[in-house]
Amino acid sequence: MHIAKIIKQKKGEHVIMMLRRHPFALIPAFLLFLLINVFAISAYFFVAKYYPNMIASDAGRATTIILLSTLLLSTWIQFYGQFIDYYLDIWVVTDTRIINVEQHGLFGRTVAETDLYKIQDVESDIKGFIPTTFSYGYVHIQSAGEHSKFLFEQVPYPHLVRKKIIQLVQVDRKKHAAEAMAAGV
Amino acid sequence: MQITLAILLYAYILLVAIFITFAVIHILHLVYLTATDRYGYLMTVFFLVGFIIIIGGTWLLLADINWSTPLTSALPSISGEQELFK
Repeated sequence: MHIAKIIKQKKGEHVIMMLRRHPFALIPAFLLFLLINVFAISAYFFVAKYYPNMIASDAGRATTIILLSTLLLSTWIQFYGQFIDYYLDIWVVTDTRIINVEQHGLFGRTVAETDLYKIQDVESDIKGFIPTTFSYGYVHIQSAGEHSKFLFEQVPYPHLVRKKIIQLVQVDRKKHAAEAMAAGV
Repeated sequence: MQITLAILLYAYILLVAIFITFAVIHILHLVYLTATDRYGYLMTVFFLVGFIIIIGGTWLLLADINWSTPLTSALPSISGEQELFK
């Protein structure tokens, strides 16, 4: 992933973490896609074997093929949308700010950022059997900025991410306080 | 006016055209607006190939259909049931 394409790094700014959803987060969408298609194709072969009259005529065959193809195309594009949503959601933590890049479906995209010293509260949670087994979950970030709530969705090791962010916030606050003192504010 | 199977075909072609438009706009969006990488492009190509296989397969399966057949002939015949209730 080209970091320069996502954010314009400030002078002296370092990227600490670049987070994505855990690969397991995509599995339910994949299973649903597989289930629908296997069911549809099995139904076609079932009809072809046990009720051949239904697809014997041109009209019956064409209708069945077109409906099946439409279903396959729809589920394929739906699964692709899910993959894009999974793949293009990205969270970048640098030593001065947090950038939240979220993809919504094929065409929606939101980019938001907040400075670390403005962060007021960081919370992490892992809920459910599979997320607990594979250690992925949510990190909720509350800041004083305009876009006040940030959510890291299904990221690996959310508790470690929370600890790291809190550490970075403390360092950034100290730096800002020192700068304010030096400026005589 | 007799409605033929060709109507179904036109509807399907329209749907495919909409999907292709979506795909083209999405790829432009991917290239110019988002920060994807080689893996992202590779997956897009993989999905496009799947798309082409589905459309191509459908085209092959539909190759020998007589499109002037009345669409109503796709409905199951009820003559048997009529006889049953006589």
